[in-house]
Amino acid sequence: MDKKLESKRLFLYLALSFFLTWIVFFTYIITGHKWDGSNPRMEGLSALGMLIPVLAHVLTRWITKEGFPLTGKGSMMLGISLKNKKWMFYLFALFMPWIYFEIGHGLSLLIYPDLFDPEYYKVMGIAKNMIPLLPLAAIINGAIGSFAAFGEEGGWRGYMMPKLIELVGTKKAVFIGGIIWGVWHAPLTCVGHNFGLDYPGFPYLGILIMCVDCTFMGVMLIYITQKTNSIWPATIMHAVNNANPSILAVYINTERAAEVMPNPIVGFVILLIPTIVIGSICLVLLCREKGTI
Amino acid sequence: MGGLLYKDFVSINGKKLVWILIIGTVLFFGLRVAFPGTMNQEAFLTMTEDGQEMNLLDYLFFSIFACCIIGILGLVNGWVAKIVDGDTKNKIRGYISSLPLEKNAYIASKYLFIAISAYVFLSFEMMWGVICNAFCREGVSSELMAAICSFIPPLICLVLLSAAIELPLFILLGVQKAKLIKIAVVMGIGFVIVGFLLFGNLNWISENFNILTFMNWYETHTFEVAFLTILSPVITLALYYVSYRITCFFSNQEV
Repeated sequence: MDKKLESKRLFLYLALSFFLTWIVFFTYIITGHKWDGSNPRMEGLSALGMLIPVLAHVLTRWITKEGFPLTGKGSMMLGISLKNKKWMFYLFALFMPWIYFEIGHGLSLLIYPDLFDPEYYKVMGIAKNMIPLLPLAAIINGAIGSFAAFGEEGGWRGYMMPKLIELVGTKKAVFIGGIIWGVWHAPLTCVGHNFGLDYPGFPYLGILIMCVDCTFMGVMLIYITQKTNSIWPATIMHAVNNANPSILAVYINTERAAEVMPNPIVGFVILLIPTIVIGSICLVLLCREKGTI
Repeated sequence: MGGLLYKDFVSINGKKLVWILIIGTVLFFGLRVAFPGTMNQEAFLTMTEDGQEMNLLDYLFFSIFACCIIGILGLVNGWVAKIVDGDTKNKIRGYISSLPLEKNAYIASKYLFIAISAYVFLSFEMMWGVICNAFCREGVSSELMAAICSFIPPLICLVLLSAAIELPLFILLGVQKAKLIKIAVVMGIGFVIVGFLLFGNLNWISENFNILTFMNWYETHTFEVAFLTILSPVITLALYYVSYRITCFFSNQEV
């Protein structure tokens, strides 16, 4: 492997990915939009910025004449194979977000029981008979409408991570990749994405927690990508994760969080605990397979 | 398999189509930004029957969006015949059977191609929906847009279901017979529609098919629509797979 060439390709990819996406994000911000409180339909539009990493991937391959192999080593990893029990990783991708969100919300209710509000689903505008269907809806809608997640995964897991792993090794790559991915979200974090605008340490604490989330979420995504040699399971998992599949979530009164919690961001940190645990297990498995443990 | 899929991609002028889709999306985005539903010129404003303000620009873009959805349904449906017809004309199937490929690879490639096409178009339609929605006026416009978008997955499922019926016909019976059957069915439906237009109660259509009654119906059936949206992809994919297995079974018996 020509390390110098691969590094150049990686830097070009990162430059394109950050520059092009931040144009979209900053346009959203400059035109006076904030994640909380402004037109929620504009959020959907700015979410189309998620498509940029895969565009940066294609542009980098085109500029550096790397070629566009669809499957195999050094490819865009677009193939799908269910052989050799690879189908299990697709199930992992579909259901794991539901599991860690449900555990996370369960932990929130255990630590802060005052957050429990049996009628809160009404405030969220959800019909009672829809509640049991929510995880299934999130899983199916996530899997169907996964094109935005494909945009991110096609770039981060489909291009950046394989290059980083080859250049710096698995363990370092996981953490560097997580930080890069977290920082990429920074403009949106600064206008209230995920954590809102009103918390001590705004916005630096939010960016830091986003980096932690991206690192451990990223490990799971890298793990299933490496096991299947395909970005599709990661795409599905990312999309389902963004759809926030959980039944307990509709019984948590988030408006009470400011009164109950010392810092509203604590709620997100608690929600992150299962992700960190599962991500750590995936990291150990990943390093064991690569022979770095 | 990749080669077989690429062959089908070429047979439908895939590259040209991808460029049309990308340019169309950029154009649609540009026009929507230039003519948002929030424009307050009086010429564009109108009232719905229940007194809500609506921007005609929104209505225009919704109509374009709905036409695109229906056009795409027809386009993908037409590909079923095209990808099998091209192989028959060029005697490709016999050539493929002599290659060291898995015995069901040819049939699998056809099913996979239609499924991938449906997924790609679903993604584009959702993207157009997001663009259309981002610039529409608050109130009835955004509600109508949400209602249209919620029907995209079931409609795409309809395309897959139609392909699940047509593909076995085209692959097992041959293009000529399959086309005859398809024309007979389409003509049958056409006769029913013409019959209704000639002898049916047309007032019933104007009374029951307008935006207001659609929105009222949607609001009272939100749960059913959501349920349909959730379950339809699962049921459709299961039926699609069953259709594939049936086609493989009969195709192997023919050999």
